[in-house]
Amino acid sequence: MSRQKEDTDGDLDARVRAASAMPTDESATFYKVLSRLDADPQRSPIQLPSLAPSMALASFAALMLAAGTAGYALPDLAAIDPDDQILALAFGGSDAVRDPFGLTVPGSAK
Amino acid sequence: MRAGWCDGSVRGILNAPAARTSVSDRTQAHTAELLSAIARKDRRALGELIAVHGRGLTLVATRYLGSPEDADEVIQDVFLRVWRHASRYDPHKARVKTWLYRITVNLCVDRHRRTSLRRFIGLDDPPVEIADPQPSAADRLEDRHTLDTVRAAIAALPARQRMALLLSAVAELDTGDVATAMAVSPGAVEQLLVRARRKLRAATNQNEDQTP
Repeated sequence: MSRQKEDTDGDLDARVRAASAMPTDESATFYKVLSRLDADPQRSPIQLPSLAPSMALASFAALMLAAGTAGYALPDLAAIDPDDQILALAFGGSDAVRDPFGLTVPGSAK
Repeated sequence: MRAGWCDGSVRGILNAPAARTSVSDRTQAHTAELLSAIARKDRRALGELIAVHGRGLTLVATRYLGSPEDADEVIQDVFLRVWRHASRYDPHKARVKTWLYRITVNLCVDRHRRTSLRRFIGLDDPPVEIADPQPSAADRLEDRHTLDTVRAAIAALPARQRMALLLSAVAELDTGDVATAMAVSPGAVEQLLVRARRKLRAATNQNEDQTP
């Protein structure tokens, strides 16, 4: 039986460790990380917590203002008329304007 | 000497006695203190954390991705995230080491997906085999050819099996920590490890049979 066949998991892991070994340079990594931190101060977490809530509040306020304004500005009679007509029909309204389907019997209107 | 960043002596920080201490000598409490210091934007603490954990993270990322350049960028991203989100670390959920490997796993998986897609559509070349340029002591003790075979076998493993094996063998995380780092169950990790080791054994046995 070959030596590998007798390998335990520990032996195999040791081979994986040996095969994965290579020179690394932690100081170079540190330099690169610091240079990226210094080059990208906009994304610093010092600024994010202070900016994010205020921006979210401002966006929410703008959205509410736009929705409120739109609520008053957009509706017109054409949008309301169908409701009125349906209500008139449901309650037996006699007004011709409220009887678009011609269901009112002539002469029955008071 | 424990020079600070303001002195411009990064190497001084990294070569400080505390930084040279091995991971096994460091307690969870100490690395948690490092993270607290990083949350207070202490660059020296970041340097110390990189000195302690940078090598292990780099080896896992390099062997997983098959590209030292990609791994280098991923490891920089890992420590940038640590710098930005150190205050989010919860010591009740995981050890610092496990938390670092979890970030690394996530970034490696993202990078692997992107590079796989780029290779699939022909934008990138397939990875080249990474061999240690300078034979180490391990290479001299082990058969160089066998190590090359192991490297090729690791590279040929399915991504999840490869990651589980590297976290277990190279990062020396236990099954529970590997499960936390990979966001899977411990049972799933055991299955991944069994399959990975089976394939690795088969590859090395085949190599030995073919070697005169």
